[in-house]
Amino acid sequence: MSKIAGAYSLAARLQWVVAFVLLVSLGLTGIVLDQAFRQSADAAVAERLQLHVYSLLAAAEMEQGGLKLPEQLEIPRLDQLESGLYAQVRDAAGQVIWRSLSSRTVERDWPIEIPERGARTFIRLEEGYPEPMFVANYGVAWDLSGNLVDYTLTVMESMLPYRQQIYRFRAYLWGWLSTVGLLLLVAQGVILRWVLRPLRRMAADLTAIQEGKRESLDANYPTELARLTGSLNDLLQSERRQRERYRNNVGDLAHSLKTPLAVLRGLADERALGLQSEVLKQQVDRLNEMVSYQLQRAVIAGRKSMAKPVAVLPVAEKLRQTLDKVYAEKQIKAELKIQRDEVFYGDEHDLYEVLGNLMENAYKYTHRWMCLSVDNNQLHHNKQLRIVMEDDGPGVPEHRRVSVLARGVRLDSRDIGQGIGLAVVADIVEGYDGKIEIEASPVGGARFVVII
Amino acid sequence: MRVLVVEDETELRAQLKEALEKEGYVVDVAADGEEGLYYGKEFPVDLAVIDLGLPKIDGVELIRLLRAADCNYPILILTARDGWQEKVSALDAGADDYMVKPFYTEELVARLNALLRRSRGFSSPRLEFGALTLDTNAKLVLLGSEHITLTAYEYKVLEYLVLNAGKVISKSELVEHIYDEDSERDSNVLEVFVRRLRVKLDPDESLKPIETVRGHGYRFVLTAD
Repeated sequence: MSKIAGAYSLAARLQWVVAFVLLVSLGLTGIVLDQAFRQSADAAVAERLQLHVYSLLAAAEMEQGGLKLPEQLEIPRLDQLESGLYAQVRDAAGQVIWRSLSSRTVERDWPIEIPERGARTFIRLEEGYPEPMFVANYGVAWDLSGNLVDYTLTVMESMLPYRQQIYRFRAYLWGWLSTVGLLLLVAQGVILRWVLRPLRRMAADLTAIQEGKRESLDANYPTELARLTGSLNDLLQSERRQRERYRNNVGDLAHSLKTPLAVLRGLADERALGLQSEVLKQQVDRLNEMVSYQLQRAVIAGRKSMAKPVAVLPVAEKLRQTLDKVYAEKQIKAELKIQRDEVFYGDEHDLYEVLGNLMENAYKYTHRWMCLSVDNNQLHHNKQLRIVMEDDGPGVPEHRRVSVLARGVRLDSRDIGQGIGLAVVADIVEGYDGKIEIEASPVGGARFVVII
Repeated sequence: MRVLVVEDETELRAQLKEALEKEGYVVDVAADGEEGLYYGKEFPVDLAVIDLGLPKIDGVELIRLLRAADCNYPILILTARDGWQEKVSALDAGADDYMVKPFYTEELVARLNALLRRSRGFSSPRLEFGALTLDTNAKLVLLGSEHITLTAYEYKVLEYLVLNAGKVISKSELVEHIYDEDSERDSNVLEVFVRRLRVKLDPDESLKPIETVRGHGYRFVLTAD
């Protein structure tokens, strides 16, 4: 589950990809808008300066001795000192023949280009005079008594208001783009959550099934997922039904095999058979052990990912009740040390077989006391259980501890037919990748430690 | 003692009947759950052996129905399935012991004897009443260290009275528990058995183990050690 929630999350992938695309698009939009705005602002400045040039031309009059412009112009900014708008007129030799009132304090040489007659230039001076400037030059020829006299009309405007306008625009533009981006990211997150909600619900449903809180997935899924969830439900149900049917079939098979065996064993008691009676009994016992062992092995479920957890204590209590009845004469004190919330992540039948066989073994061999303790196997895996079955019986001799778990080996040869219980436990434990060990109990009997 | 055997397999049913009769039990047999329920409710049964896989009414349900009808005699189940869930559910329904098929007849008889004893409050198969000892497993009677020879019917009468020690047992009850349905029943013969038992168990009339309660029946008066 951690993989689903972490690096491999669909939601996270979508969120990252969409966020990236969104940021790139908004960034490009911002750059394009910025460029467009600058170009349009530049064009507006050039046009405005050209208009001022035309106003100067309109105000200029040709008199004897040259071109004259009035002291006061109709453009108020040219008459205010350091207004940011300056103008001057030069003759063909580059001598200033007129300058606006506003430019009186701007003493330095102006970077004048002398354009061709009738040509215009528009320059951006990013440094100096005394501040960054736009400069518009216009070359004109004036007819003075039949001679064409060249003049250059120059209008300069400070770039600072323009720059401020650009800065304001940029601040406004990026401010809004960021706000929109943020809103879109939030909206995208909300949309993704809403769109992916059925997937999260499905994950929660699957977890609930794994934890045994549900039997199947909810029926109410969007059409895109309904087929998948429907198939999954069918699979779960058919697996359950199949297991159930399989167990019933094996049970029926056991019934139909063992009843004739019981008849045969009954026949073996016939005195008329004489010595052959023993042979018959032995063969029936061998057959019975083989049949029992194979049938019990056949129904071992093993660890399953969709296993419904089974509470351990009720199973152990039922088994104790059963065995207390059966072994009533021994008056055994059977202790259960199991927390109420202890669960087994596996098949209920398997748990019954493991605990039943271990407990019956203890009831059979103990003198008066046995103890079954079950806890989480913290050392190994949090879904594994550690089952310890102890008794005060004769114990299992060290050299027989391996063989007692093998198929059909019996500790007490008189208990024919009961020798497969521990072998079945060993097989179940193997099916769950667990392990079983036999030790000597501190109280003198056997101690079976099962990790499952 | 009267035992009811409910088993659908004809051969096995016949074997069980024969083996149990050989051990001195009066045996009623039923071939399915319905018949078993009728016999179990109507006959004076002391013990029942019930197969789990029965037609009509299955074994676990039969046990439940018998217990619901206040039939409190011990029940041993026979099962072909080794699974613990089935054993647990059968004992949960009210059975007292189980045996997995195929079984040894001697073991079945020993378990039935033990169930019977336990149901009457005796924990050991050797029931001792002072000098008188009854070994229910070996079906032996000892007076001091001397072995008393009894006929099968004499033993049946004595065992029934001993297992119901302290209770007044009517002649008709005794007859029902020691004779099967097909036998010719004569309660006068009982008086002969009881008289013979008194002579064999108490030759010098010092113990007086069996008391006649006039108009009601007999009572075994000795108390267990």
